[in-house]
Amino acid sequence: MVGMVYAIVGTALVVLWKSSKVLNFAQGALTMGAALVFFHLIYDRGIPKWSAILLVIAGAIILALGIERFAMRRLIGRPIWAPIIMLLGVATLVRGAVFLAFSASVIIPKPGNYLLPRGFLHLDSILISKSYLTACAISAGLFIGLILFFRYTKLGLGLRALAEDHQVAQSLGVNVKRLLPLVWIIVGLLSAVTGIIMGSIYPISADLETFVWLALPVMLLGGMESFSGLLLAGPMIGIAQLMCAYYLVPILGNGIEVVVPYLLMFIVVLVRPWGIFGLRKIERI
Amino acid sequence: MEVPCGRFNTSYAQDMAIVRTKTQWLLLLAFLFVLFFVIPNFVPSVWLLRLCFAGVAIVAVQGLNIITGYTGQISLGHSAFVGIGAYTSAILTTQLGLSFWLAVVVAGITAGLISILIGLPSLRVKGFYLALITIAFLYIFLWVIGPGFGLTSYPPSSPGMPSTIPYPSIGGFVFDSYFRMYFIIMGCVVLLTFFARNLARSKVGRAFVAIRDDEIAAETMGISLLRYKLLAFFIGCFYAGIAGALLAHLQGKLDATPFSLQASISYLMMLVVGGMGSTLGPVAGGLFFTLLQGVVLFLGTKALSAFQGLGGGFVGSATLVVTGLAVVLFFIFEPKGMANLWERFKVYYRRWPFSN
Repeated sequence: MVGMVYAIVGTALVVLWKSSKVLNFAQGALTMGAALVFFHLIYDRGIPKWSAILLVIAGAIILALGIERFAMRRLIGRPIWAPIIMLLGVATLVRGAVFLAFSASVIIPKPGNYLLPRGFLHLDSILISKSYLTACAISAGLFIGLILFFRYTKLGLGLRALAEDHQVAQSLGVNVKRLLPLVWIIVGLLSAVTGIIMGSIYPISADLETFVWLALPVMLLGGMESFSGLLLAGPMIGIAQLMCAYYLVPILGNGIEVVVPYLLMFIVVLVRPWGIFGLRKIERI
Repeated sequence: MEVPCGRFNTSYAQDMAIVRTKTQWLLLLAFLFVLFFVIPNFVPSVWLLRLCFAGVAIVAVQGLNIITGYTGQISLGHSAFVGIGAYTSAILTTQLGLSFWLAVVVAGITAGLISILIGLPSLRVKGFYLALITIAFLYIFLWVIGPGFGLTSYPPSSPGMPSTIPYPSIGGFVFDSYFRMYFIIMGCVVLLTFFARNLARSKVGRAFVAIRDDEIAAETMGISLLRYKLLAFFIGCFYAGIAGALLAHLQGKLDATPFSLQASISYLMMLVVGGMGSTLGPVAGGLFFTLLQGVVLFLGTKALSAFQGLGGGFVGSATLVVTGLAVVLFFIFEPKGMANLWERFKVYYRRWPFSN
């Protein structure tokens, strides 16, 4: 179940990678920012849930569009490290702005006003947290929607063409300048949604960002451009973490469960860099 | 390359020389005089300490420049190697009683050897994948020093252990204040910057640049990727290890903050703002960021005392905003960094009064 959360967070990363071959290092800051703003709005300002959701989604989309227009568009045709560093800069900027607004404080949820249902579901002897279950349901919907979008709609196929080569896509009639902002709109939307889901499961603080970093190993294991890979790899990493927490913590001490996904990532990159479902890359001069 | 008017290189040695003219020798001597005599004596102590940290950062970024700027292998785990150097030197001097001078070198070599761990994967993967590997390495390192071996605050407060990491000394003279450490750190900065400049113009440096520009093409030209990539990682992380050792002996105590992912990111930012692939870049970037942080700290504390409503984390978050903004703006308007500004200035005054 923990793994499903990683899978949800991974969606925004995969969307961007799939359609523009850029790994969004600012994703953590975006998700964390969306979560902090949302819960600040509903708990401290008392704004109704649904209008707060709409507000946060709108805000995230505007921010994402801003990143695309003012930062990313200028990097077209630059070397591969250019977007990485640019996005790290943007991440630092967003993180700083969020801390500035909220002084990095922990927002305490008010009892009785939870977004997702609390408590546990009893299936014989198995306990399932209701909030995780709801999160899984929402994400399953998201996944199906995204997979269908990228496989069957003209727009989705255009986005995949974009990832291959901007020039080729443009010459085949894909409007690159119109599609790139669209990608970022989806990224903004997904960051807002994942931020809200994560914030209702975990304590709401700046630490949410570290969970987003944990989505990187998941994304890599699943194959960088595959949604179904995420669905498989998320639980795999989650289960690996739980097993390690159970079997290895007594031997190696606390904290090993946080490192295990990265160890796995190390191995995956060395053995099979394209992951489970990813596309193999062939290099030419 | 642009050459000053009226100067002709008549030999290869002349063409490759770092210091070309008598004026440059004079400027170099004047610079060293200012660096080692004027600044420590006339700069207020707070800023001197800040300069010490800037020096440590410059050494680390100079190393990152060799890996990322020259060889084009992006590394987000550089602070882990700074950490390896710091802890190696700290443990060697406190527990084995080794002298600082030996420990610094051993720290550099240790960091360099461990860097082969991430140098080897760089043969198989590149770009984003390599960035991911280095992040993974950083998290593993943080686990090793944190929960793994409980070194988070070093030296630990246990009987039989000194309370701080010892200061370096020569004979009876102990470098027991940051005023004295300043000379060691700046000495390292000058020496290592010179070495980096020298490396860049050698055969090895040109091989690095060839790998950066096109790996496959470089390989077909007979450049061994294995050898030169590992060499780049070794030298770059050797620098990081030395920076870490200097940091350990400057602070006297160690914790995990200077080795976090954020630290790695800020090293990369210093490199980008300063200018990738030039020796001047890391120096400019390191100084710029340290001074920027100093200014934000100064203004932030002023603002804190002026407005009561601001939270405690105000200065830290304002620093994040300003540094992030600096990187984004530099990337948009001057992608080659501050070093390129300097190059443009040089072209301008050489052509004066006909420059445009």
